[in-house]
Amino acid sequence: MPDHETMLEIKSVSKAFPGTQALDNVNLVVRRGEVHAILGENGAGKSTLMLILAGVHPKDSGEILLEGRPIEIQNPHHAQSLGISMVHQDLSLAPSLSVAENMFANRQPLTRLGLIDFPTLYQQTEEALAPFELATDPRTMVRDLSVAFQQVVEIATALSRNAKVLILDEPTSALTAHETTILFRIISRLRDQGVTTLYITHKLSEVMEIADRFTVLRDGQVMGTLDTKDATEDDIVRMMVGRELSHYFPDLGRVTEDCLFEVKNLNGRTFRDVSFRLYRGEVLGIAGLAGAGRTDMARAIFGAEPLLSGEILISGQQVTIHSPADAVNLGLGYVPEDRKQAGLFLSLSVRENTVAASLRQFSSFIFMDHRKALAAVTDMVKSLDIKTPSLEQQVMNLSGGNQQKVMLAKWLVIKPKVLIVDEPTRGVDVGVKADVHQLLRDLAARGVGVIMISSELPEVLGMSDRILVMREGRIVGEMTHDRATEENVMSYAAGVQAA
Amino acid sequence: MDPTSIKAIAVESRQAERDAAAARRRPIGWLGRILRVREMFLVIILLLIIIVMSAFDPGFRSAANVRATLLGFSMEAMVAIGMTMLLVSGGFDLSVGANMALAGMVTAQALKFGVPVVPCVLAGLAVGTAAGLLNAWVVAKVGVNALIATLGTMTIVRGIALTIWAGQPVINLPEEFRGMGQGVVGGIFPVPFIILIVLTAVFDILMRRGRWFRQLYFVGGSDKAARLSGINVTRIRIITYVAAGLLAGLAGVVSTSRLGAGYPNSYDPTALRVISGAVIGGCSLFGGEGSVVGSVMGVLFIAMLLDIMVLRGVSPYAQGIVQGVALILAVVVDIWTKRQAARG
Repeated sequence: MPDHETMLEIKSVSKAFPGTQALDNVNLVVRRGEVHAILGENGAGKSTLMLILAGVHPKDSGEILLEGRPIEIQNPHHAQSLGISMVHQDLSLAPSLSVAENMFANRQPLTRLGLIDFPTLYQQTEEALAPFELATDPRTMVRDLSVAFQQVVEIATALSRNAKVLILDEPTSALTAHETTILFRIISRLRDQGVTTLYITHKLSEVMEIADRFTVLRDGQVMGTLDTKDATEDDIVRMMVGRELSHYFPDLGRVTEDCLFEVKNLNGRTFRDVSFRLYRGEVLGIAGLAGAGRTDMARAIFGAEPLLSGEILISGQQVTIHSPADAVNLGLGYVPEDRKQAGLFLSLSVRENTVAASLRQFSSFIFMDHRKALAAVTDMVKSLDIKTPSLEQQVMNLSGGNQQKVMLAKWLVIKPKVLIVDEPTRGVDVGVKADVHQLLRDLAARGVGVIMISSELPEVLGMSDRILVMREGRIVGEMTHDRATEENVMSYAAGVQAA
Repeated sequence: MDPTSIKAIAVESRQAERDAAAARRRPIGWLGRILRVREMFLVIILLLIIIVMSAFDPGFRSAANVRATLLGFSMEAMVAIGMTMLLVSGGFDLSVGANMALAGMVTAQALKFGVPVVPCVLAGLAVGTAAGLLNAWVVAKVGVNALIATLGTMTIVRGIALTIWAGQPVINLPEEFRGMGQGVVGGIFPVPFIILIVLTAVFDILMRRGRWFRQLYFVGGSDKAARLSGINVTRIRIITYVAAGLLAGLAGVVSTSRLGAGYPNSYDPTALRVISGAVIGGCSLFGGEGSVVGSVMGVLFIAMLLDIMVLRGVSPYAQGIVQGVALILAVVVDIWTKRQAARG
């Protein structure tokens, strides 16, 4: 390959963290102006590699060449000045500052007195955002922006620093399909302008859509780099997991006529007039764009948010739910989308997390029955195939996928009648995803009603016996599994087609 | 790429953006919106108090009372400037009161030894700076939680002052030192108040428009994000703790000058009052928010509240109750506005 085509070259880079060899002799060539996807299961080393490029971690050994010149990246600031900018998965913006100050942090234009020149700052911000045609008031506080817009601000920030190499770490994990489309348009325009993009993702469809080439990492080693047009999704999965995955979604089960759970005319802060039924054995998918009121509705049903009016019936009996405690007593479980903050006690052990919702079940009088609890936890760890060195391991040390399983285990212990799962496979790898899907299907087969909120269309379509689509707080569409297509779910969600 | 389709998406997203922002703002209501501009809210409240009290209570509008109130709150407000920098960057300091006492004692003792005024004042400032350095080291370098660390330094510094002087004050300080705390400009403005106004003006402008100082908002908004943006978080934390210590030292020296004596066991409620005032003035205990002017007005608000209590003949023992309620209310409002903002 001629030299001028190579933007970035990584030669035999290794990196060890205590207990793991995160990167083992990694070689990678990135061409100028390409969109290069970096793939791999959780823990494969893709984030570590990118964080080394971004100056967050130092490498142990090896060499990095940028435009043919060897570079030693000292820290994030140095990486940026070399032209390498990373948009982190947990966005790195200060929520209570304006868009302008976030974009020009530490390099705001100054007046002659050495103070920040705000008029010029706002003007520069507008200019920097203009190419994205998503102009907003530069004075807007970042916390008033959607996640998608914050992402755009980060990308614009990177480019305003004259980034030659842009690293995006799972940029779509918090975006809806619609927002993802916008992001992809932006990425392809950047490619036209000669910006090189490294794109970490779990989503194979995105690789096929946006990437020119991709590299798969497994256990810290490069499994190979291919042109996207020469590969299929099956090839990628094989490279990632080292085995064939015959199908991605479990077969549908048998839905009964037995109405397990019903809500009538629910009204809440961000949703209106929501009514639906859930039958025994059913997986009910709830699709919609971010901000459509799906999570608020689920939280309100679970008593975690005020319900302004409406009725909830379990097995035909009207029930009152004022708090999550009420909901749990009635046999409801809720697996939130935000596992780090709302779903898990990160500093507690696998055992403690698993029994967190069922302490009463394992107590006699006021003391815990540890033997009984331990038996239940052991059982869960085995049946869900949770990979942990011991039951006493702190949950924060597990991989994202195993954390997700612990969260599910917590609710399975109470043997719920209805389980609400919110984005059940966000940020987990292909293997765990399949496990979670199989698990939800098994639960449904055992008579549990499963309500699954998901922004991933293939998941909603592949898993749901029936799909409800929400938009602006209302249910605007309902379709059975065989009628649902990506197109009609999306058109309901985006409001293109009247309900 | 088709430019018109991008335009369409852009328009659509912008509309969605506006809707989302509007939805987020709506439940906060008029009260929340005023609270968002906390300085304005405070100005109105303070003006109301002044107008109402002046109309009903001649004692309140007397030159003596105005002078006493301005003098009383000035030292605490100096401490509040440093506290604002700390709160904005996500830290805080409970040791400021003890710090003031030790700085004042060192200055007082040096004066008693016959050392000229200027070196004595500098010695006091050095003590405050040293205490700030100790906090900075424990919090920023070692990584001890700010509450525990400054609770520890608070008792250490207080203990040092009490041990050295065996709990006894140093009184009868020389006349030439007293001008700093007891002087009056224009018949009504005490010198400490003038010092405060200058410091407030300088630090408020720096916190609003100084590039270095704006970094405090990033650090307080998200420690991790600041680090990833290439900001040297540790260095910033060290400098803010040292600056807060220096300002507390200054307040201690000025206060000692005003009293004409150093008291090793004084200024106990300062930290509580200053943090309350800062939070009332718009600082967030979660970091990332606050302004110097807001904090100074918050401290003034508490000072006026206490002044009114004294004028109304309320038992001085009840002051603690009012201060405690004010602090908790301010924090509740902080949490409440956060919760409203986080929803939607």
